[in-house]
Amino acid sequence: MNKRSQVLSMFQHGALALMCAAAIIPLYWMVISSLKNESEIFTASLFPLQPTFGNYSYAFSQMPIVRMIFNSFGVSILMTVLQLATGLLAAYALVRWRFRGKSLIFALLSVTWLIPFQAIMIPNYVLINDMGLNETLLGIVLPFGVSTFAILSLYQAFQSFPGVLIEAACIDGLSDWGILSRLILPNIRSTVASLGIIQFINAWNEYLWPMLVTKDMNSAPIQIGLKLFVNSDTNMWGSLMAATTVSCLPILLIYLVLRRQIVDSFIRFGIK
Amino acid sequence: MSKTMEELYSPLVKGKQKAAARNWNSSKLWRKLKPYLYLLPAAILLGIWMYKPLIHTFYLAFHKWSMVPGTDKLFVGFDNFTRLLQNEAFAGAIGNTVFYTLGLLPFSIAIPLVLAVVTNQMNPRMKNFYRALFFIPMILAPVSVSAIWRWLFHPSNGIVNHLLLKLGFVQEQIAFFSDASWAKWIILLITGWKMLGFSTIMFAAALTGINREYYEAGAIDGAGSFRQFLYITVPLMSPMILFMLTMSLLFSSQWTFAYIDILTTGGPYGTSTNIYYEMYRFAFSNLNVGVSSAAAMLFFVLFGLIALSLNAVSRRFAFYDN
Amino acid sequence: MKRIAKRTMTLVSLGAMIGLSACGGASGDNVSATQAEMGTLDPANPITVAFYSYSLAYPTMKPGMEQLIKEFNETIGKEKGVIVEGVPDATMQQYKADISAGKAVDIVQHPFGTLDSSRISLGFKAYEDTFPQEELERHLEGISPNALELGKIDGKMYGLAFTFSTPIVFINGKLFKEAGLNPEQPPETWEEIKAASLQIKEKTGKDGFGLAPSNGWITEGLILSNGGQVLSDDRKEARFAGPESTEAISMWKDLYQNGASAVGTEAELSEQFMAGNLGMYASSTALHSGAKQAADAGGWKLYGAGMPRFADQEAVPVNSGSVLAVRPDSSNKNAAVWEFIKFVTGDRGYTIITSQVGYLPLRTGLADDPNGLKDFVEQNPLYKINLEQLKKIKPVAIWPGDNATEIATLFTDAIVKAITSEDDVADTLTKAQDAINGMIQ
Repeated sequence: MNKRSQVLSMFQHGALALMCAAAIIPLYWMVISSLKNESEIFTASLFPLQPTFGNYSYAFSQMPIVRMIFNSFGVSILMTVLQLATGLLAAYALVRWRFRGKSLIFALLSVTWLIPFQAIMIPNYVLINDMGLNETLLGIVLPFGVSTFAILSLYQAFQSFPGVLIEAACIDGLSDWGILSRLILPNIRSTVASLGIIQFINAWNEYLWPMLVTKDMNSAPIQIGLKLFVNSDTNMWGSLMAATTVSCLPILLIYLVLRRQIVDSFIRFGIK
Repeated sequence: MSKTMEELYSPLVKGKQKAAARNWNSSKLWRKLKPYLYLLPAAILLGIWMYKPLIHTFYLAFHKWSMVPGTDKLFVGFDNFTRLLQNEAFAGAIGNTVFYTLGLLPFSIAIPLVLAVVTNQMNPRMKNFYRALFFIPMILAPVSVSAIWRWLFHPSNGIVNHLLLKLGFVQEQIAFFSDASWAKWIILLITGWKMLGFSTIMFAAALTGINREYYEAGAIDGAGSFRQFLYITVPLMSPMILFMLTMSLLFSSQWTFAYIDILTTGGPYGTSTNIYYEMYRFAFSNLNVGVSSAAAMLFFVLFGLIALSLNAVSRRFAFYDN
Repeated sequence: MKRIAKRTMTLVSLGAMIGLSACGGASGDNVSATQAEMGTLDPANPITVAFYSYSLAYPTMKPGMEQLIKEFNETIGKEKGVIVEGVPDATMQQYKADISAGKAVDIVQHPFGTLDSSRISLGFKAYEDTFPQEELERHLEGISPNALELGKIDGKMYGLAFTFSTPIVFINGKLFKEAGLNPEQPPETWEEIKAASLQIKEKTGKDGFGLAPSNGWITEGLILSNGGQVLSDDRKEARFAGPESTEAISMWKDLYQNGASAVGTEAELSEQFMAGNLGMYASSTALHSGAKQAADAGGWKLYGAGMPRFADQEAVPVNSGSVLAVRPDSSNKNAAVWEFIKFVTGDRGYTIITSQVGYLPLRTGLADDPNGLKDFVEQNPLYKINLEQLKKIKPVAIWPGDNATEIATLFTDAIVKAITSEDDVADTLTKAQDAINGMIQ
C-alpha cells in the first residue's frame, strides 16, 4: 500500500513537473534569447554565455516601448473601471428592484455572450472612424465600456448579499447610491477586485479590436506594437524576444504579486 | 418655478396639499424610473456598440459594400449567402473550425480532467506551487505567445527543428507554419497549450468540492480507481465538465484567431484558417462587407443553436451533488 | 519590406476593385480640376504639406525616409517656406480614412495598382494639370522612361515613380565558396540554380536556394520568363494555366520538393538567409540594406544575381514599389508640393532612397555620377544588376473586377498548393484559373 502510494506520488509529481516544464520553457527560451548576442542567438545553448542587453536597447530604440506600455495601461485601466462602474450600477438595479422588462433585459444580456466580435466589428469600425476616434485610446476602450460578463458576475455576487441588510439600510434612510457605495461595495470588495483583475488582463490581451483601431505604434497598445514589430523586420530575433519579454513583464509582475487572487478569480469567474 | 407660482396664486393650505401630492407623485415616478437610470449607462453602451451594430450587420448581409466612405450600399438580396455557401475556400474554413473545436477538447477537457484527478490528494503547498506555474500561459497575451512560438518553431533558426534534427527524428527541417500538414496542428497546439493549465485548475477546484464519502462508499463496494473515476468522479463533476465543454465548443475558434493572424494568416493555401478569420479577411482584406456580414449572421445563429441545446443538455443531464 | 511587396499585390487588386465599385457613385471629376498655375511661397509664412508614407512605418526604411524629409525641411523647405510633415501609414489605409474625413492629404506614397481607383474616388490629380508643363518636362528628364510609364493613366501622369524594387537573387559568398562555387559568376538559369543549390546543400549542409511559394509577385516574373501569361492583355481572362506557366511552376516544384530549396514563409526564408544559413535567396531589392547589415554582422560577403532565366529565353523581371500621388487643394499648395516632389525624385532624393533604404535609383544616370551613387554602386555591385533589369521590367498583373483581392488570393494559393503539395500542377492551376475566370465574368 505504501509503495503504491509512493509510485502514485511520483507519477503525480512527474505529470505536474512535465506540465510546468511545458508552461515555462517557452518563456525561459524567450528570456535567454533576449540576452544572447548576435553570434549566439542561433545556437542552442541553454543560457547566454556572454549576456548582453544590446537587444533591449535596440528594441527600445526602434519602438516607443515605454509609450506603448503606457497606452496598454491606459486602455486596460480605463476599460476595467468603465466595465466595473457600468456593471455595478446595472447589477444593483437588477438585484434591488422588480421592474418591467427585467426578464427581457436578462435575455438581451445573455445574447451578447453569444455575439462573436466579428459580427459587430464592421459597423463599430465604421462608427469609430466616423467619430474620428481611430488611433486613439478612447477608440479602443469605448466599444468595451460595458461587459455583460461583469454585469452578470456582479449580479450573482449581489444576490448572495443578505437582502435584510439592504432593507434595514433603506429604513435608516440611506439612499440607493449610499447602499451601493457604502454598504454593498465594501462587503463585496474582494469579488469586485477579482473581477477587476480578470477584466484588466483580458483588456491587456485584447487583440482584434485594438489592431483594427490603431495602426501607428505611438497610439498602439504594446500588443499591437509588438505585432507590428514582428511583421516589420527580419532576423532581429534577439531584439524581438527582448520586446516580447518587455510586453509580458507587466502582466507577469502583477501575477507575481497577486498570484493567489488571480488564480482564484479565474476559478470563480471562468473565462470569456 | 411652477411651485412658486402656485404658492403665489392659490390659497395657502390648498397649495401645500397640492404640492405634497405632486411630490408624492414625482417620487413615485422617480422610484419607477430609478432602475432604468441605474441600467442606463450599460444600456447606452450596449445599444451603441453591441445591439445596433448587430442589426446593422444583419442589414449589411443583404448588401454589397466596400466600406469606402461615401460609396453606396447596393441591395443584393440573398446573393452574399449563396456566394458564401458556394465558396470552396469557405467550406475548408468550416472544416477547420470543426477541427479546432474538436481538437481542443483533449486540451480543455480530457487531459485536464485526468490531471486534476491524479493530483487531487496532494500536499496543498505543492499543489499551489504547481498551480501558480501552469497558470502562466493563460494570462499571457496572444501576440507575445505567437512571437515566442514563432521563434521556437522557426524552420531554420528555431530550437525545435534544431533538436528534431539533432536527435534524428527528422531528416529535413519542418516549415511548421507554411507546411499544409503542420500549420493547423501548430495553431491547435498553441491554443491547447494556453488552455491546458487553466482547465486543470478549473477541474481541480471543482474536485475539491466533491464529498469524500462517495469514494469511501465506492471503495467499500469494491470499485477500482478507474471505475471510481468513471462512475463517481465524472458524474459529480458533470456541471463543471459541461461548463468547460460549452466554453470550449463555443469559443475555441475565437481563441485561435490571433495565432492564425500572426503566424499563418490562414495559409498555406487556406489550410489553417477558420470561419472567424475568414470573416475578418472578407471584410478587411477583400473589402467585401456583405459576405463577411452574411457569414457572421449565419454562424451567430448556428452557435446560438448550439448554445441553446447545450444549455438544455446541462439542465437535463447534469448530476448535482445536493 | 518583402511584406510590402505582398501588400502592394493585395492593394493592387483591392484598388481595381474599389475603382469599379466607385464608378457609379462619387467620382473625382467634381474635384475642381485644373490649377496648373503655381502660387507663391513665402519663407516667413511656411506652408505645411502632409506626406503619407508606408516606408515611414517600417523600421528598416524609416531612417532613410525620415532623413529625406528632414533634409528637405532644413534646406529647400526652409529657404522657400515649405514644411513637410510625414505621416506613417503602414497599411495604406490611413490616407483613405483621412481623405474621407476631409483632412488635407497632399502627397501619398502610393502603390501602383490602386492608382486608378484613387484617381477616381479619392481625388488625386494629374501632374500635367497641377504643375507647369515646362518645369515638369525638365524635371522628368533622366528618369527611367519605363518607370514613368507605370504611373500614367489615359496618357496623363497620376503618379511619379518613387520607390522601386525588382527581383534579385541574394547570394551568401561564404557558403558559395565553401561549396566550391564562384559568387562572382552566379547561376544565370534555373538549371544552374538547381545545380548550385544541390552543391551547396551537399558541401555545407545548409540550404542552397530559397524562393517563398507565397511571395506573390516574383512568381509572375517566373511565368512571364518562360513565355507564359498571367492575365490576358485586356485583363479579361486569367491565363496562368497554359503549358508555359505549368512548365515554369513544375520546374519550381521540382526545386522545392527535391531538396534544392529551403522551406518556409517569405519572412522565415529571409531570416534564414540573414542568419547565414541560406546560399541563395530570391527576393526584392528592397531587402538590400537589411541583407547587407546581416552580412556585415555575420562576417560574410553579399553577392547578387539577376532574375534567372529559362534555358535560352530572356528573363522577365517584374516590379513592385510605389509612386507619389498628389492632391494639393490650392495654387500655393501646388507650389509647395512641387518643391518636395522635385527634391525627393531629384538626384539627392533618389540618392537617399537608394543608399539608405535600398530601392532603385530611378534616375539611372546617378549610378555613374561621382556626386550621386557612383561610390555606392561600386561598393554594392548588386545595384548594377537591377539597373540592367529596369530596362526590361514588366508590371505585375492588375486583377480586374469586384473580387480582385479574392482572385489574387486564389492565384497565390494555387501556386503554393501546386508547389508544396503532391497535387498535379496543371490540374491545380487550371482549377484556380477556371474559378478566377468564373469570378471575372
